[in-house]
Amino acid sequence: MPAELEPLWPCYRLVLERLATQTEIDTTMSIDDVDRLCIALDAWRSAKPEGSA
Amino acid sequence: MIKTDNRTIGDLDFTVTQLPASKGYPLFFKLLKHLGPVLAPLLGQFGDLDPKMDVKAALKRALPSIVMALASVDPLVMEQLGPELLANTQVNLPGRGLVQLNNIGNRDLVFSGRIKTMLLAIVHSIEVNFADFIEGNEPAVPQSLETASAS
Repeated sequence: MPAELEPLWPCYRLVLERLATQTEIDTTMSIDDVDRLCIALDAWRSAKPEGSA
Repeated sequence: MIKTDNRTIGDLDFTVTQLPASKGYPLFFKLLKHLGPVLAPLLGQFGDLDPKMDVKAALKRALPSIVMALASVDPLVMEQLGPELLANTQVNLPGRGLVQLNNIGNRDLVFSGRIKTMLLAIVHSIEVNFADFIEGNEPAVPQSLETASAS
């Protein structure tokens, strides 16, 4: 990833995971919102039983 | 959710509206890049911008020192960071009403002869935009997830 885009990785991650839209990230979501969703996503990922969808 | 915060600085009422994430993240990293070297002697722990560095914990400890750091940052850097940090700030200026600080004319109008007020307004913006983020306001992990994670 180009260095200038690295700070936006948490935002892109949510868009790629379809947990947020680019419009929401550009208008209504703060970095706190993005940060919390990423933390929740990590927790969910680490807790999800192996083999589950 | 984008939040706003009001603060009276000197004789002026300032309102900061939090930046959306797509602008907040780049500004946060720019802030860290420029203030990091200034804060290093104060903290004794800032180095290069290692991606694995715990930036939240580091900046949380640094926040009280930011006022001092801002005052000693290269003026050219402040010329770049200041406007970005104040872009979503409004001030209620007696006789003129609400003035948005997103252009140099308005910033000159408000801060001419008020350098300390400008620094405090910038700190206010940093707090509104990044304080919760820095403090790591982490949501509680549901019990079922904790249990599943532990097993």
